[in-house]
Amino acid sequence: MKIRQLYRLPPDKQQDLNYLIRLEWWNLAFRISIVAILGTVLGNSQAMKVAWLEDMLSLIPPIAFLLAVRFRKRPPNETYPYGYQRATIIAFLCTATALSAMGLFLLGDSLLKLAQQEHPSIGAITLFGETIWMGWLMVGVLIYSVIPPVIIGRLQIKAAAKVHEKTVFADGKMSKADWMTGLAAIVGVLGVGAGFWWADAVAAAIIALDVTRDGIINLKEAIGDLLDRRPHFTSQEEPEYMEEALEAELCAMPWVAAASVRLREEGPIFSGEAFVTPHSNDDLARHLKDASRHLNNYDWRIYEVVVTAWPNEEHSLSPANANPP
Amino acid sequence: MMQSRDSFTQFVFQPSILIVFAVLALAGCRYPVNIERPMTDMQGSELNIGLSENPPWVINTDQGPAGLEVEIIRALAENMDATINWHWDSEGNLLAALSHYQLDLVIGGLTQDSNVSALATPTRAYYQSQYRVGVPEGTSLPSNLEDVEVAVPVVNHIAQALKKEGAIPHPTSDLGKHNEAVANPSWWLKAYGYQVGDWEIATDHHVMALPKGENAWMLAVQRHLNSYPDIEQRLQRLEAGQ
Repeated sequence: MKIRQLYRLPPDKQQDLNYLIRLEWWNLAFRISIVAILGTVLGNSQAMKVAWLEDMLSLIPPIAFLLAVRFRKRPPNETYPYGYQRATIIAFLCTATALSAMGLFLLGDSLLKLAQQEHPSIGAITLFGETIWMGWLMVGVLIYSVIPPVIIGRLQIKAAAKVHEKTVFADGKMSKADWMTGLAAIVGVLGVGAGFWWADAVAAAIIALDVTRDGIINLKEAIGDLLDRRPHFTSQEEPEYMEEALEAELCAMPWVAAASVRLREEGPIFSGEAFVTPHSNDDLARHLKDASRHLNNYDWRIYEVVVTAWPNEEHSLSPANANPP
Repeated sequence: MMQSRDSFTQFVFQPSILIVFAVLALAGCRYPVNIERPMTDMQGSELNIGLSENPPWVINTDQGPAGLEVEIIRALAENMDATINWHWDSEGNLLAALSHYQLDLVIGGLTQDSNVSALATPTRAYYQSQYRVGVPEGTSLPSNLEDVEVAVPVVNHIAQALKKEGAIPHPTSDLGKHNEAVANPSWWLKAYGYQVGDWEIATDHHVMALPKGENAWMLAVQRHLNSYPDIEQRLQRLEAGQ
């Protein structure tokens, strides 16, 4: 049985990944603190409840990433000859499903509250012997709840793009946009204080919509990966066009007459097959192995490209094969 | 993607922020405000208070309502220059009336439970009744409650908790008349001169019920409750006076 080698990041990328892992630990710590503090001032506000549940759900991506990174270090073996690179995507799919389902549920719940014209009660709290309106405390806590995610979100996006960690990249984008849901909750709470009973439920519905939207975006990303979509780079909506680059590399080799390549994403890295038509069969096996090694070292994100020899007529047209022999 | 986010921000959030700040400026120091009945309408006017009998919290006497919660609400109304219209009814009817904004407040020895919060907003607990086991003056407290027969009111919610402590609850209609251990709130035990043991059998969190969303009113009631002194002594005096 042919078992894959363990994928190793280049040293500089490994450093970037270690930084990202540290960042995710910080992210997790801040998010736990936010969930804990928000939980103490929930009151009767629907917007607060939804914001709180959103923050609770946002614990899942960093936990999933940190677990997956550990799991991924396992070398491929007899049972899993392709390795564990896709562990991240399994975690990502679970997160995305939870986000979408919870978002829809909260949206329905908020709209129901709106339809029932429920008047939210935001009571009083006694702090240091002074009885104050709880809404002020909620606003304070909500302001705290948006600051760390916005800062960490920016750092996450940069760090995740360096090591092509799509799950963290998507999480960072969500965190960066998190201030808007926090602000919506603040507007809801202050609106209730100003006597508008609907402000709370409307704010809650807006946050729930945002949660659903995040869930669906992540779901698309996870499904794309599981369906072996052609590689996209984290920070771009467009495909990476690495296939064409690899075909050009192959066609530049003197023994190659034509070449075509297909790639798929396996979590943060790419794998695939190259189909090559040689000018002659001389030394073919060695040529194929060298070509494979060359392609595997072409870019750090490439894990394994298998090169096989094909007769000419089987090639599809590709820019690199503009001049077939 | 970012483009649509930005325009979303511009069209939805920026106006709503402006509205909130405008409202805050208008509301000034009167923040929060009630959703249904403005505080200005309550001040110096009439308060509709629902009450159901539950001594010593609410007592129906020939001279009108009495009891701890009645005293508390009378003091609150006095501070607000308001007069009180009392409405006697069952707890269920009163809470339903509260949910339709027919009343301003309901009292009747209510405790924190889901019945109250389904139809109304309870205040935070202004007093906690600790259920303890006590023995008559001159008798010594048992070292533990294992197999000790403890008298409880016929209608009670502590029999189960007592059994957990190993005691044998004994429902008694004329509580305090016999020479035996009794489980009841500490203010009751003290009112009848019992020695009070340390076992915490149960706790009742006493609240009043307000209509949902009347947040300024809630703040005013809560402030009044928090500053109301000597609740335990008042309860003992009321109980002893009965």
